[in-house]
Amino acid sequence: MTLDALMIKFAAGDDSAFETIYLSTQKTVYYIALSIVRERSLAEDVMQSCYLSVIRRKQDYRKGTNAAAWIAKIARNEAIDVYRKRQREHSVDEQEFLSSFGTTETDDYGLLIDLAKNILPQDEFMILMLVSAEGYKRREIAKMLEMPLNTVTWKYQKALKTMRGALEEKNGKEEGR
Amino acid sequence: MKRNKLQNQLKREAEMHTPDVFDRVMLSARQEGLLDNGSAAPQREKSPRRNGQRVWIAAAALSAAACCAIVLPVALFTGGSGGSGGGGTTIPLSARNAYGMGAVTTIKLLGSEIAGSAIRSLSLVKQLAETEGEIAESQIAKFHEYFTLFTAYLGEEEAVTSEEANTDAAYAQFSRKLTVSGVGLNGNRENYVMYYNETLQNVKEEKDETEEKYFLEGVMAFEGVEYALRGEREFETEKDEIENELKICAYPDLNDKTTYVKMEIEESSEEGETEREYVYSVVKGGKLIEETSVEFESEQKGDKEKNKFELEFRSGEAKGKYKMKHEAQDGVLKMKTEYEIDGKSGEFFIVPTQSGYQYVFEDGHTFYFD
Repeated sequence: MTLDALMIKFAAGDDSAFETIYLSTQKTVYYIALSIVRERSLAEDVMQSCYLSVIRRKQDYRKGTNAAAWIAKIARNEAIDVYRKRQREHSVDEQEFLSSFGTTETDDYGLLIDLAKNILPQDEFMILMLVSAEGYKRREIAKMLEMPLNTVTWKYQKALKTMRGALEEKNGKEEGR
Repeated sequence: MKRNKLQNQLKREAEMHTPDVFDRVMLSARQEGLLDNGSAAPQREKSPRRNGQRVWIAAAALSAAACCAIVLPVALFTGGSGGSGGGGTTIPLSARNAYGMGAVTTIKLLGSEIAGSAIRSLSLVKQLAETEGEIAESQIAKFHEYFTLFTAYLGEEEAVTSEEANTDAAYAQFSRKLTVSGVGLNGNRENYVMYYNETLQNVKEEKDETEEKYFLEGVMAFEGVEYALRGEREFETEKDEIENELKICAYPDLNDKTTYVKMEIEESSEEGETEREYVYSVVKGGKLIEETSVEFESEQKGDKEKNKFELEFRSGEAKGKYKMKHEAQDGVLKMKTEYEIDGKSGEFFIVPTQSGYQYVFEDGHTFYFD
């Protein structure tokens, strides 16, 4: 069943459809959130608020539109809200204080995802993860993120290039030891 | 690290490290009264397999077993870039089939849309029975339109292209001529000629990477109407990876660029795997009225080749997804097609007849296209 059909079922009162909606979009929502807030725990909070928002607003979903894009938009908006709130709550000095105690370091699991998160700009990381983790086609991502297809392609290629360069550099350093 | 390896590793990590907040969401939702407390979270199922598209559980299982036997043409792009001679270039063999097929299919779709001509044969559809829940005649007709285009130009009687200097005085403004010969619906060979100029726009070379971009302008005549063609081709190589992108637009009138058919092809090849996707957009009066994606995947493992063919379209309110493979039934080779359209799923067989095609559904419901 398509995501569109599931959303219609859910909006019509079939709560059991929500789980499949969640499972189908879990990674999409998480990596959109992570690309914006850059911290895993915050991204989890965004996931929770995003899905609560989906549940609250299920009646707003219009049949035949792009359900993945609709949910992605909610995720982005929630992430931006969380990010801005975080910026307001912490002064620059406090952010440096948190960093010096390794907040960003404890968030790094040494994975390729962490390397990508640390070195890529927001859009490039988001697009790379939507392609890799969820297998979206670039034209689907273009619709989801409301970006021209060429821009998505260009950012994706750039992300790949940056990652390869970073990995080559990392491998070169490790061999040199 | 190669693109596929990088993507696969990111995918594996994402599978293992994406947090699960489902229970927290359900708890909060029930506390807010958004969900019925009585509707307990159903037993957790395995995450439905995604195929880069929407959730389609049945098709995920089927596509794993499917082995499409549609004969694919030799890769439309086989490496190599364009020759350059001053300001004009010759479309290389590697891109010739793509441009030729792109030109023919876009103008056929455009001709069908604008002039209401040949390939759409709704008036000749005979419906034997109405069955509740079946997909609509219009949806099958739309599928048939694309099916016949691809069968004619990508099927077993694949298109043949040839390229030469243009000596036809009527099109003297174009320096080159590309002829596409394919098999039409009536089984006869059809020839189309595209007159064109292609120019190299820019080249970037860095270490092991090369990027080249070309621009094409041309014309092709179809059923007495001359269509303007505009195209772009990008060719990239990096070590042993090749990526090609090609776009071609057909216009009935260059003074009105709000009505056209556009085809975009993306192909990538790496380590025995080839993926190719065609996306057609039909735009009328500036409004996108139809979009269709056709995807081929071909994987060479040892001496075995696995192919998949999918077609997905959106036309007005209608949306459909089809997966196709050849299957023998009662000693006859037929095209088995599994579909999902607007929430309805099923399958049908396409059987060639003397005068056209017959579409036979599971319950015997039949459409004929002549």
